[in-house]
Amino acid sequence: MSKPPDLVQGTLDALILQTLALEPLHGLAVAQRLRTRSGDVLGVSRGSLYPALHKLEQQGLLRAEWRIAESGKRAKYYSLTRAGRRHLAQEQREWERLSAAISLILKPT
Amino acid sequence: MGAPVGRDLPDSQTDVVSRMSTRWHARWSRLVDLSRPSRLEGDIDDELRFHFDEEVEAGLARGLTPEAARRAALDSLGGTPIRLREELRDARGVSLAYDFRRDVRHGVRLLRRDTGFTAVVLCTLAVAIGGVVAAFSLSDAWLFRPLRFPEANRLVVAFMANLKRPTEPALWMPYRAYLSWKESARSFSSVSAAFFRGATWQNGSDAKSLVGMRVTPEFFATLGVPAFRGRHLSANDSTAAPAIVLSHGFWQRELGGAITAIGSTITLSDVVYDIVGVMPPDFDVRLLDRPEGAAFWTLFRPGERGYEPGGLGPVTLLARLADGVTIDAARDEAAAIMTEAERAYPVNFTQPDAAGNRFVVNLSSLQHDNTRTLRATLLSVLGAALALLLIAAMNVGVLLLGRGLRRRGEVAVRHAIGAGRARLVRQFLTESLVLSAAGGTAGVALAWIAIRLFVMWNPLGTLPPDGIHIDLRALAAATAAMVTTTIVAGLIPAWRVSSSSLGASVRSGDGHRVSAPAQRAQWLMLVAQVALSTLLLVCAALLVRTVLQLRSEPLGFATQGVWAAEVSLPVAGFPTARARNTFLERISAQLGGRPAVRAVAASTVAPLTGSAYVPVSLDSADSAATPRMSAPTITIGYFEALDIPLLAGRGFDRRDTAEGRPVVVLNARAAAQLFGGVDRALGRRLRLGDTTWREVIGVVGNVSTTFFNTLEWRMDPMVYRPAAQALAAVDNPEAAHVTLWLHVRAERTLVAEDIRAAAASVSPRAAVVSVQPIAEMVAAATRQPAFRMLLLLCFCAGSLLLAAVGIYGVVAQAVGERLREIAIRIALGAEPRVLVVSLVRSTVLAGMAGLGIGALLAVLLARVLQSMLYGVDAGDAISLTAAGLILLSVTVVAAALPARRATNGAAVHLLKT
Repeated sequence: MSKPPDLVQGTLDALILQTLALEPLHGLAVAQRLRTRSGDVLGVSRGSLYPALHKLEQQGLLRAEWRIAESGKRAKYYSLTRAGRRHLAQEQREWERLSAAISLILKPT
Repeated sequence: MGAPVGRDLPDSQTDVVSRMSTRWHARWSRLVDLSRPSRLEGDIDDELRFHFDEEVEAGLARGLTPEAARRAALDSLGGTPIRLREELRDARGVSLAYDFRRDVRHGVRLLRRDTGFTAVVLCTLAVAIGGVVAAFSLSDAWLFRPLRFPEANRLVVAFMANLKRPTEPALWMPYRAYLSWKESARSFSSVSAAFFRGATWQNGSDAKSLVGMRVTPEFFATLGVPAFRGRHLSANDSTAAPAIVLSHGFWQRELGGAITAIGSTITLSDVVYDIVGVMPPDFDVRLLDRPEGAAFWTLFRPGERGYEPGGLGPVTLLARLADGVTIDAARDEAAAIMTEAERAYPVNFTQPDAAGNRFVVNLSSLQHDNTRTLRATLLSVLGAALALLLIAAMNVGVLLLGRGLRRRGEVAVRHAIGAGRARLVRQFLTESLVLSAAGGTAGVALAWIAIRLFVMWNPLGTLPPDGIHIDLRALAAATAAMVTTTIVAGLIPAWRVSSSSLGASVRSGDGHRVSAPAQRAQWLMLVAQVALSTLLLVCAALLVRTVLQLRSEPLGFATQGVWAAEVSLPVAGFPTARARNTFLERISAQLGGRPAVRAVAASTVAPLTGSAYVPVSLDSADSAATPRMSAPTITIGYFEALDIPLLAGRGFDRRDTAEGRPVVVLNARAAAQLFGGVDRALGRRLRLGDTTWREVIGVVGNVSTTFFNTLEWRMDPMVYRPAAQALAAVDNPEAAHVTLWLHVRAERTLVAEDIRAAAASVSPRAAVVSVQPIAEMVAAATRQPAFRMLLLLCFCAGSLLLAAVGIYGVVAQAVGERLREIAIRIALGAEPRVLVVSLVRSTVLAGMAGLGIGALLAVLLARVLQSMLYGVDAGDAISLTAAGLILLSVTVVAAALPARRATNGAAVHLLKT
């Protein structure tokens, strides 16, 4: 079976955490946010979102609860835990460090 | 799925507390998931369904057709719900454990549906595992687990062996060898001598025959075990009042374990001993694989004949090897010392005896000595059990392969709706594990029962000193073997099925065709199975022939209706030959007068054994070449009572009194050896180690004896002496025992109580120690070979059954595949017989190939059995032929049954429906 090329594993995790940092969302909303916010550049590969959400929940970085969505249906909402916030901060630091290093190489002064 | 990002971070940046809580959380949620798998499934479904519904609505709102909206929603989910669900469960890390539970349930359900298959596989597994575990546990208890002495592997026992069979003890060592080894041998840190000594313990009116040991003072120190209560025997005891150390068992059983017993006295065979100590419960020194150890230990007394410097009194030497000395090195040194010391004596062990036998020192570990005759039995049983395990493994393999291949359809469907190869493999694996686990459990139960039965039945007439326990190593090994088999055989189909072009299989509807490699594997396993069965069967046939031979061998005397009663005549009560002879005459008269008794006589030999050897010379000087022969003392009527035929001259009668002319009767073997024939012996004279010349007045037939429980009947030369002339010469306390032989009329019965009562009425000092029918004793002498035969026959039956099941299964499977074809061919007029032949041909060929290989193996390997065979050669053609015929017929019948059934209508029935 052929899957579309994945986002670098972990990057997707960071993006999900970042998306959920503002407010609790259900899976569909996360997918939509990711698509719109990245201007469709980062197409979250279909089929990898839910496994990632479940894995993050399993790791204790996300917590999930069932709420009533705007449509009136029951939906599973994900939000960041404290560990999740800490993890996101770390990811951001790490990313800044990395991107700074890459720009140093790619933009020689 | 890669490792979670968080794990890659340097530790310094993560908060320990949060890590801990994270881990705790993870564990908790897995716990929740596990305990409620259905809720988890529900949650996942709800979540995915929400996504799906929302997307469908959005699509409809955008103006898509319902069908297009659904497809778009599925696309946005990114996979079929089933696959996604599996992935989600994988992501949560519960799927392994969860799938396992589900697979176990699925497996159990499938197995329960397929009762016949399950029953066969489970029985096979249980019997094979149980057999190996029981056989190994038995062997371990005797052969592998060290004896309960400190550094038991350094304890050795010495006997003399015939040079022709240097590994079989043949003679006791002379006492003087103990003295020479003790003085000069460097290989031993300690040397002691011991010899069995029977004693009668008179406890009120009840007499018990005990087996004890005479030992030298170093005995206990050599074994390295301290006394349980009191003290050991010391060198000082040999000159002081007679002292005795009791076994724990005797002390408990007979003296109630009273501590006051130590310091008191006990009278054994009219000698009063001071009880100085008791040995611990597990102190059990056995010699020559006797079923039990001694009840007591005393020292050799100074002045005891044969146990003085230069004495030839029989002993075994029990020694402890010095540090770093091997048994072989010790044997070489000890033999050299003995040869050197023997040269000082005119008649010595460096010379061959009259029959040309040379004797060498036989040194073996105490454990080896204790299991001399058992070893062959146990190892052959262990071998048979292992063969059965192999056969069973292959059988289970054949069955599982066949079953797995039949399930190609199911597997293909599951694969098509989204089960990955790993998932399928996991399911088959689980099913295999379920089977092995159930089989293993049943196997342990079976082994436990088998061991209990063995202890109750005690077929070898002896039990190991410290019990038999289920051996966990054997259990682990046997189970591992079976698990491996079931897994391999269970996985091959899953693997092949999920890797090959399955779609084709589903589409063509031809999901039952067996692939060529699997068929080859089955064929090879059949060949191996039949080969192993053949090997077992040949071995069993050889043992059957051995037992038949042993049972049918004419023993030279009557065994049916003859009873032997062992009577103790203590020296104190019967101090003179006259007293003994009077007793024997009177009890013979008293018992002989009963209507039930046809004849009665007495002798100094125990049943089925020879007596002590005496030198027999035809001239006035003894030399090294003087033959030594068994010389039992018998009363008048002995030959008649035992139906031993008179070949020439006459038997003993009233003329042969103590004052009369000294006479002897020879058996045919002795007559031939001494005088060259039965007829030439009459009237000739010989001496029996003293100065009295005795005349040969008769020659009788040979009788068989056994020796040290070895597997053979021996026809030794014998010189019979009349009790009236010989009993006087006996001062050995051993001779205090005589055997009464009673030939009982078939229609009457005589009970042991009658004999006891008769003995008591003649003299209250005499004690009847045991009463046994001779037939039973003969059976006991052939008990080990019979037991070996029985066990091997059981294993054979098992292996034959398994082979038959395997063959049946393979042919049935082939027939099932070709049922349609068979039906069409029959409808077109094919001869059913030809069809059957074509169906069974390859299986029968496999059977024949296995038969050939097995026969070859048997010819090569049966040599190992040689020591267990009697009167039959390892390459025995009859056994080979019998085994071959049996296996061939089993193969043909097992193969033909399912084929016949198919041609007899099953196939046509298929076409009609």
